[in-house]
Amino acid sequence: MTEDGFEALADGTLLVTILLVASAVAGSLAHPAADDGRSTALRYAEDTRLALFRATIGGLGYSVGGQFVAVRNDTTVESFLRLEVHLLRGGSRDFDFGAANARIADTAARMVRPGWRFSVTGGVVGGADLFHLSADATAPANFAASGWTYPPLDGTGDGTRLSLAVWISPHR
Amino acid sequence: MRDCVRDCRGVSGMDDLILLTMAVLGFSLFFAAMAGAYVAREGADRGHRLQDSADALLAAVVDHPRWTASHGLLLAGALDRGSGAELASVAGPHPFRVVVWDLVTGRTWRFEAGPPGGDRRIAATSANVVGEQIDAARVTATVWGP
Repeated sequence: MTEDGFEALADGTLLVTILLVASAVAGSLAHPAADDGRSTALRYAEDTRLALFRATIGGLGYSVGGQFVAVRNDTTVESFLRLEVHLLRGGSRDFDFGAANARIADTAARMVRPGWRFSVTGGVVGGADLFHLSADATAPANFAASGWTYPPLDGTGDGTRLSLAVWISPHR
Repeated sequence: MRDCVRDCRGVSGMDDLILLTMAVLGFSLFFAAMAGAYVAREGADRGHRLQDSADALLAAVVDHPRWTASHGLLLAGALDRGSGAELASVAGPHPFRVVVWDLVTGRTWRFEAGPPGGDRRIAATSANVVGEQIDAARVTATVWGP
């Protein structure tokens, strides 16, 4: 190889290096920054909360002292859950909302898209959850939630908070 | 070996050949990467456009002034009188199908236009159908495209 040949080899190596870098840049342009779906999930949580809370489920009620107390059939889920928080806020164990909670949870489970899971929680603002409706014990870290706070039903004490969280389940 | 001679033109020709080979290899790699990136980008953009169409269609359904009392509150009576033609302008040239599913009564309303085919994107959300009572519902919008 002549001296010119070594020079040509060096030029060629430089050219290939530059083109390799350019190819890598071109390849990276093929993958634009993808939307992580966070805003979509939050909008979905908001829509699902609104739809669940506006729904009316006939025959809801609760048991107290062995007596079943039925609420009106046009009572929305939101109103019923507010009532539940109101009655449970004092720590009373006399009230049993199990059957109604199961029906609300069943409605929510049918409402969410296949592959998604949910939880509905409620309690006093600033306090612990008084109920937790979900098939899962806890929500994963990447859930999307929508909630609302309400004045207390009797106008005294802290307000009521109700919240719905949704997330994509890797197990379904 | 005594008959071998060193031809200067042959040696420089080989030098040029090395340079040419590296240039062809480099440019081939570069243009292949460019073409691949373009194809991948176009595919992703097409998918995003389809998803945007599905999202717009879903939004049009849950906010349709003739079918709803408010956002996501669909009127059963108005849905009975609805048709896919009212949504065609939202979906553009794409075939589409919208399904409103009353989860309590099991009743469904379908609005569609065009034969389904090709790639598809789906948008779905929760809503209510107002009939004798306010039922939980699920709305799904599917859009097809090339």
